[in-house]
Amino acid sequence: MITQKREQVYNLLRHLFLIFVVFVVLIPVLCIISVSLTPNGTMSTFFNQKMALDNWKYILGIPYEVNGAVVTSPYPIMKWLFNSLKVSALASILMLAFSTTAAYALSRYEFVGKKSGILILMILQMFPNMMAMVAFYFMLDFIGKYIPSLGVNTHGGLLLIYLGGTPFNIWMLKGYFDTIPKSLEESARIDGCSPLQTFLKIILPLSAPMITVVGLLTFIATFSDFILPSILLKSQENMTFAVGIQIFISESFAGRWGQFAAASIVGALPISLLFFSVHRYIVSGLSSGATKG
Amino acid sequence: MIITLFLISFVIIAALGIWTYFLQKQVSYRFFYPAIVLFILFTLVPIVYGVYVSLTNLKTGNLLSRAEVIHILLTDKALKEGSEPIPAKYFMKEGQYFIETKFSAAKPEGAVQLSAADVIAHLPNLLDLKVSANDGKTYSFFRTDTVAETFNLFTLENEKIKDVRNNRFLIEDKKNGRFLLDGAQVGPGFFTFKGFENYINLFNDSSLKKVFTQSLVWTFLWAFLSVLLTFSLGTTLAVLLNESNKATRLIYRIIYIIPYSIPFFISVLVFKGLMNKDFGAINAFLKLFKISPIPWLDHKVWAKISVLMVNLWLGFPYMFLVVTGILQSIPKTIYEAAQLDGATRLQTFRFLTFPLVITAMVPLLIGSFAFNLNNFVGIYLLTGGGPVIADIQLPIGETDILISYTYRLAFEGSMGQNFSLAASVSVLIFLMMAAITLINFKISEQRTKR
Repeated sequence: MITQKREQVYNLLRHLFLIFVVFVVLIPVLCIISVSLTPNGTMSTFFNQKMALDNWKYILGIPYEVNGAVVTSPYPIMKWLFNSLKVSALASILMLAFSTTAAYALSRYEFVGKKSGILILMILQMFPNMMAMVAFYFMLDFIGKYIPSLGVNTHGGLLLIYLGGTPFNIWMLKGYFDTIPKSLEESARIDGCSPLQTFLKIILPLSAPMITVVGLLTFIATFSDFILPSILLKSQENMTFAVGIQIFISESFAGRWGQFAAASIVGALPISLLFFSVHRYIVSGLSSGATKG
Repeated sequence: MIITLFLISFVIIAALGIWTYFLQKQVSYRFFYPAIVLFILFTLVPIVYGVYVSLTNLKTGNLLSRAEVIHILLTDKALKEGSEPIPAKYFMKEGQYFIETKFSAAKPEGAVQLSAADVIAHLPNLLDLKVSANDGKTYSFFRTDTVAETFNLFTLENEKIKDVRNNRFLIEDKKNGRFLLDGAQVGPGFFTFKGFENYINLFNDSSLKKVFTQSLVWTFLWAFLSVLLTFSLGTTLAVLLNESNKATRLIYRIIYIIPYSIPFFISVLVFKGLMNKDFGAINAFLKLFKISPIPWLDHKVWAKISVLMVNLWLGFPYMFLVVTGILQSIPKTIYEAAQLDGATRLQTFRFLTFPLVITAMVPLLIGSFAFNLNNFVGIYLLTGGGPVIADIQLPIGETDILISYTYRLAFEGSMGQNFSLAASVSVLIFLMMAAITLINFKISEQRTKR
């Protein structure tokens, strides 16, 4: 028998717990915001010292005053952000181009090595990338001698390596393509479409949700990646955001937490906004794999 | 070696390309080809290279190939006795190189002087230049700014290397990859094929074995606890929140997603700052309660707790989202029936909700386990592997998981970088991951058959 009182107590406890977790989630975020607003802030200030936008101006490249002298940041932080966005966007688009075609082949056609092929590809993709770093460096060095725009210190080279990671996306897309009835393509074929046209005009538009998910996951993964770019990208102009802000926490810059905090927020914002706008698709994409109808 | 692999794969790719697009009719292969090209080049080749390296002894002191070492020995020059180096400047014009000394002719118009760095860059071209002095001596390259009378220290005779000064042959130590004269190493070392020696050492050598086992145990413990904690918190939140109305659910959900939406390298670095023993906000906050500062990242137990806590913060939103999705797909009628039968909340959860959630989540839980086994960023950025284990010579820390240990072996060794050992640990990690993935696949297949 559940009484009114018990019900109320339960609800109270429930909300207390939920709110407690909210605090735990938000406190680091608030800390970062407060640190970013404090000039010369260390990680222990908390809205209790004079607040100024100095750190933000430093990050955004706007000159500001310190004790009467005008200071600009010597680091092209905004350029780093732009680089990251550009590389991630290109990586998403290209990854989709290659994954959708391969997934279509796997979904629609029978050929040698189909069954175990994709499994083997996915497993091989899991090899820890540590040793691969050395290999990538030499490979891009080699390619760079013949095609300069795909060499070591370029975005093109970075993209090439990201595109090696297609198998997982192929698997997800294939699963989705399998649910599109073949009758649609057959009628298109009767009407005279070539396989390429069928692919472009029928399959792709119908797969929009999955394509969004794959594109987004690729974007987020490449934006956050810092190991590969830190090995490949050497010149400051070319660095992605993830690599660039490592400078702010290296030993020689200990204590520049204020600027790091502001940079963190600037870097986190695009991804967060992107994520919030499409989290519903990701949830349904992930859990549909789990429940399987 | 990597270039050889690369060229071989180019040939294979070209051959496949011709076959796919010109020699056979099936369209399917043409769709598949681009992805395969990229996969071969950037996934397969590094793996083959990694396996190859694990079978050698590539490390600091043995970084060059045998051919390169021989070349270095044969071009090594020494000063002739009694000779003094004289100053020289090096110039280049249109691919031709010139030396200017007090003996030599003036350089042609428009020749550019090479700086010290340029000299090193163009070294192979400069080594053969000679200056004939009016005293009958011949000078050649000695340093970036001098020439001198030099002679080659070593020559090649009957496929062996001879030391010119005392006419003795160098002995090649094939096992360790170096050349010896009277037992002392001459010149740099080169890498040799060692077979499975690295793997055997991992399992036999006592200090290596201890290190390897310890980090293996912690790696599995870390992955298991991470999954357990994130799943527990995520499920609890999802179930508790399920009873509220739509608006409340949406607000809470947006807040709970925040840790997941911030790029994780940023969050981890933020926590690193917050957990700093002397300057971090957490200890500053505790100071208000007169609690002495806790060494979050420096103490062997606290460091482990810290990484788990941070991983919990980062990971629970994912579990929360997925379990929410699953809960939404459970038909409400089941709950109504349970309520009619008089089940309490706890009973409903234990016998209805939980089994349904678990069966749906098994593949994802295993996937999360596999992910955390290799979660380099979570460990490395926060503690760098953690406080170093004191009584062992090798660079391993309390919170090092296998993959962060591998990274440190390969790129950070203060006692030299050991790529071959790192490669062998990588291969072992890969075999474990492959096994786990296969098991995961089999389980998913079983479930869909039901």
